[in-house]
Amino acid sequence: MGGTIGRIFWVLLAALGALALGTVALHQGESINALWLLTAAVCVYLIGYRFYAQFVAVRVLAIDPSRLTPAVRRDDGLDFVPTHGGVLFGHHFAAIAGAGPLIGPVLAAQMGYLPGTLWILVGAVLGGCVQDMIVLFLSTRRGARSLGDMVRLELGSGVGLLAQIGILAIMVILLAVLGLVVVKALAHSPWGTFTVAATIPIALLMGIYMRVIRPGRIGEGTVIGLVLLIASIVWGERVAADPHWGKVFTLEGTTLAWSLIIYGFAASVLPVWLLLAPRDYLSTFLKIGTVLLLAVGIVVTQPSLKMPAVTQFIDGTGPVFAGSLFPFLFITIACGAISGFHALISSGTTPKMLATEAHIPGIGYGSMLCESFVAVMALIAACALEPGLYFAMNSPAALIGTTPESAAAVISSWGFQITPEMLTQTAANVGESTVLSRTGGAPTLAVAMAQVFSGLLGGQAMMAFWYHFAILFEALFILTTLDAGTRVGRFMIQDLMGRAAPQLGHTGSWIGNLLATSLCVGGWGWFLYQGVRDPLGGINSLWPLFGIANQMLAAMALVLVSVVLIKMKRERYVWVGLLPLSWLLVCTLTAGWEKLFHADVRIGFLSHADKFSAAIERGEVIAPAQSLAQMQQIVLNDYVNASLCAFFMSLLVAVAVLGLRAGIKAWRTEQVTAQEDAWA
Amino acid sequence: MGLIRRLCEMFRLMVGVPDYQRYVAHLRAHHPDTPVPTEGEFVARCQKARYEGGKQSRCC
Repeated sequence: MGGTIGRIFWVLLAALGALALGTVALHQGESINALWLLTAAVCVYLIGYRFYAQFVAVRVLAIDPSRLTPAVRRDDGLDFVPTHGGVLFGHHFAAIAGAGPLIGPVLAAQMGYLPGTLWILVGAVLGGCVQDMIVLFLSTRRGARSLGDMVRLELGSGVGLLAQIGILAIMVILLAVLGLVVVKALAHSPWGTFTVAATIPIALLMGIYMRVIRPGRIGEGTVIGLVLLIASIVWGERVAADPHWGKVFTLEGTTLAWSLIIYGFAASVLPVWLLLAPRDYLSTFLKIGTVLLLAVGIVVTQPSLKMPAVTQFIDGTGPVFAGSLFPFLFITIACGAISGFHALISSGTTPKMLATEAHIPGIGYGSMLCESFVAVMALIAACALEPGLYFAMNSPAALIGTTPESAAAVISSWGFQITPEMLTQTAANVGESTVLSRTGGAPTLAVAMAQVFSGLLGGQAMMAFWYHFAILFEALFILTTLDAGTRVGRFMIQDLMGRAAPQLGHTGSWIGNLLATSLCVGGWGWFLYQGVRDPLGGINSLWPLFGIANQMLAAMALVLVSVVLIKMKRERYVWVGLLPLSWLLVCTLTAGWEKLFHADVRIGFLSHADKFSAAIERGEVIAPAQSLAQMQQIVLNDYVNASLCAFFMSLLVAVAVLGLRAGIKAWRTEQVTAQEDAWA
Repeated sequence: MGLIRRLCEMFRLMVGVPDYQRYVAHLRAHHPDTPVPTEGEFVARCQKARYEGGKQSRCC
């Protein structure tokens, strides 16, 4: 676009964005069309990409398209391959897209659509995208090294070890919380449980097909798998209705949790081609397809947002998760705004395939914009639900009771009108026995997506199909993550064990292997099980821990980014890293502090423990516990959660202090001290 | 390269399988003595590298 026309275009786009954002923010009254929100988001993204990403790329990082990337220098036709920018963009987006940006915004919707939207947009444009892009840049300039290696290289081995422990801890919490989401979605849902269970034989079949029958034919295998998957959803309705099989697949949360733990252990020792790889193929393509379909669905059906812009729950009394808007909104929506995990992906396989540094903004910043857009779509879908229904699905039974009548009465008293009939009708529409207290985010998102998809295709009659399609889609890639994540966790544990006892560190060591797998599965399994037993839904305590861990990792990555900017002697631009870093530090540490010491027993782990300890001393049993042993279990859980929270905080403070020291030292040094590869 | 071929390349790369033809071409050009794996062997090797190395992080 030539000079003048280009300028007019950007001015018009900015005006449109301002109009849309203004409408979204200032809207009063009944409901607002989701297109306003979508338009605002797209305008913000385009402006962010055109101006901020280019500014960071050109001025701050001074990317040099003539410089040879690791892919070009070390081209081996396999790992290091200069790859077409668009192809690599797809690869990178598929790698960063997970369950996080779908679940977080659904939970945050309890505060209304506005706070979540603003944080997703601002957080992504100024924080998450910048982190992803600069980490990709740093890795590209350092022979495609991983985040942990770069931290060791630039900040020293002590900080490197802290980062390694931090990455392992977040992995364990991530797996537990994702497992909990699956358990919550499948408990008492024979249809959902059947379809998810069916993915195991389907994947095995695909694995054998791609290995033995038609070796290497991924496309054919995946198409067969997808067809069988759809068939299993259709067939699931009959299974659920069957008097015998319906009962077999109706499982309690605790049974499902044990099944997941056993599955996680078994799956991680099977050969990868048999179960893990085929299911990864299914979940990857299903994920991309569903996200695209959701985008089309929202644009075509143009749902109205029925949730108010801001609800009364910004004061911290919300039923979905406890804690006020600051800092808990920023912890709840991690992925979609800033996700520390992306720093691992941006320093993984992507930098090995980058053909030229000129692709860094498009792939690093651009992919994260798309991820953020996914989060906006999840928020739209959740806020398009009737708010009364949203709260009925996401409030624990301890608050709203277990019958449609009690739930409708309580939720209506909060100011969100809903009738018992509407609740039973919705359950019937989606083919479930009840929609009450289906916490965890996934069922809500599934109802929301079913509403969008059935508006696009099939109408009311297809609602139940789409609901179970959405549950399957979420469960499928969460199970893949459990399986792959357990393997990654095992390697991390073995690496750490190897430092203490070298013979256990060898990946060939059977004892080391088994020990590390048990530790990893035991770790996430423990948190998963206590989450399932938690009467407040588990998500209430686990999701904030996960958010704190993820933001802690992001903060570590931004410490690296900021220090390296100083070491490159580009300190006048160090605010590019410090701006999101300081926000993350403030949010994460405040949230951690409140989770530890807040006087409200719904927020503070320690005050909750005190309440139960005091009751134990008096010999009282208070709900939800039914015996003194359960009371003691609750107190123990609180202490473990509190310790983990304190551990995350100390790790973060340590890395920040060591980073600050390294930054000051580099600032005082005249010459460049960043450890880049030589120019080639 | 046509759009369809690019899309196929992208889909395969999304699940960690690089372009097979390109690898064969690389082997022929730079390592003529190394035996060329079949496509099945190539995919099996990629699966092993992606899931068993412990390097491929999963995202939340």
